[in-house]
Amino acid sequence: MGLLTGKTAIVGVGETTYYRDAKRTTYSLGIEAIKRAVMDAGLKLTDIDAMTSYQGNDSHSSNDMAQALGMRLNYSLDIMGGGSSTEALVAHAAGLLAGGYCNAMVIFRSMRGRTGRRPGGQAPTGPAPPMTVVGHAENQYIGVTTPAQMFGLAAMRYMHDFGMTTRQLGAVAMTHRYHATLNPKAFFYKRPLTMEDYLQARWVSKPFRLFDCCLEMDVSCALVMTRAERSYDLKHPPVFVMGGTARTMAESPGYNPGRRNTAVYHHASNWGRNRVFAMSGRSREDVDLASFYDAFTITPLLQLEGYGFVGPGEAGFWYEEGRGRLDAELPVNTSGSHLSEGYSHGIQMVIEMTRQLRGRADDACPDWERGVHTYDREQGCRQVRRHENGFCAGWGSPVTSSSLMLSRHPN
Amino acid sequence: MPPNIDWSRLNIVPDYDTQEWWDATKESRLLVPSCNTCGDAWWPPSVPGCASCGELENLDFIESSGAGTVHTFIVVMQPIIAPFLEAVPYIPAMIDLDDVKNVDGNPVRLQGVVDGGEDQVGINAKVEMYFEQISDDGKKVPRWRLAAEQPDNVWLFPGP
Repeated sequence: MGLLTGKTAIVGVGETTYYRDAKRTTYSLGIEAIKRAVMDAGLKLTDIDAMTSYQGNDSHSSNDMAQALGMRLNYSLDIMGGGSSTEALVAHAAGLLAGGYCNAMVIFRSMRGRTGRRPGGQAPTGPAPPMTVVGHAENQYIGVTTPAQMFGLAAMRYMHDFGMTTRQLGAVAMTHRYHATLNPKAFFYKRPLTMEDYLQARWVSKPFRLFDCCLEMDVSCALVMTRAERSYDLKHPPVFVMGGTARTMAESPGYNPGRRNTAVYHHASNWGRNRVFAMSGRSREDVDLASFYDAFTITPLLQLEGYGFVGPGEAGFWYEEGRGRLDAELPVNTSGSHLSEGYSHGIQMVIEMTRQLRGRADDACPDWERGVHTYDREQGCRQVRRHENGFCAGWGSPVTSSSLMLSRHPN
Repeated sequence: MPPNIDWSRLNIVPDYDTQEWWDATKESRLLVPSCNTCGDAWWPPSVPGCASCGELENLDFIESSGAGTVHTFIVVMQPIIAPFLEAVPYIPAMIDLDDVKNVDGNPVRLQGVVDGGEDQVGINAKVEMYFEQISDDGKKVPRWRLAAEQPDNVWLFPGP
């Protein structure tokens, strides 16, 4: 077990609506999400004395947010980072909180991911204008700038090596979509996806069709952490931080071609897999539900294998057999997450995990806020039945990944 | 037919780490960065140090023919950046070079657009390089096309 296992907890979560066009700034979105998370914790805004965020020079800072919300911070930091940042910032917060540098920390991401800066250089209204690039500029001169194109290179080789079909990618999209149909916040709430829908959608970049790709959104999400002893008398049951990998870096970049003899679909979780389970005192069998960074349908497959939940080449079959659905072996991405709830750059998966481990998933059950659930999927309940331990995997690029083990129990 | 890439929509400005590489392209030479201390070679040329042994000074280039084998590829159907608006569909690939090995004895792998359709370009396909000028100051980029002789194990995208 790690030195800080169970010493800190996530006590508040919140987000804005997932917008296709918010017509709001990242400032306005951010303070709404932060306020919601602090209220959810049962704290006052002035109880918050630390704030961190991640961004790509496309958002407002912690200091901006604190000023608008009347907070005086003892600690603030804004990092440049992608989809592996939330888990890394949770780990970073655990050390600062446990060490007494601060008492209650907000972690947020605020982005106009659809109408502002879009990954890959595409302008909000369509393809990008003529461009100037400094350096080697390989990605620009070969026309591979979007994550869909980069991860496609890994997906194609994986298909070749293991015989994966695009129908198996479709099974990932359908699984996450099914969960979104039960999540009132999700873009695709009550709108399921059939295999025919999946196969008939337009190609983006083969082997990916439209529904292999996540939903770019304008959205802000936030969470609140504090020390364990302070977490017990707040509004909701605390969700304890047990351990993780605060950004593992792969030996070999996957989509900038490798120096070593590593497969292009190998990634950082292949190197971090043992650390997260050992540090948190939890085995794979202890994990009741999981979330994998689903920027594309291929990424959950590679993470299931990378963290050792299934063997090499097995993940597509795992999804096809329905083993990741609610009430199955290991429910994954229970909010619908990036593919079907909306793309938040990773943080929403930690938020959903927190709600599920509390036993208070926000769904169609009238008393979900008090933890009363019917478990009737036909009636719109998405609370998992067993919710002791949850595993979150973040993934920025094939070079970096991070993970987080959360639990209802601090030891 | 090679994809129609509009280079007037892309202005590449070399930096201190890539000036020598770009200058060599003006003479149609493809340089692969390498280390004289340990013998490693790598891609891309924007990486200014040897990750194998930590050498920062005694670095060099190996000239490559660019001939190689397709390791993986995609077929881009939706254009994103300006130079490629009229180029779709086009096939960017990762290519294992025939003539440059890294310190582990594995081929150095780089990336390039391969001319041709998805009915021909696939994993294991043999490709050869040519240069195309992209700017008035003579900078060129490496492009690839299928070699005349192809192995019988070329793996094409199987579709649905």
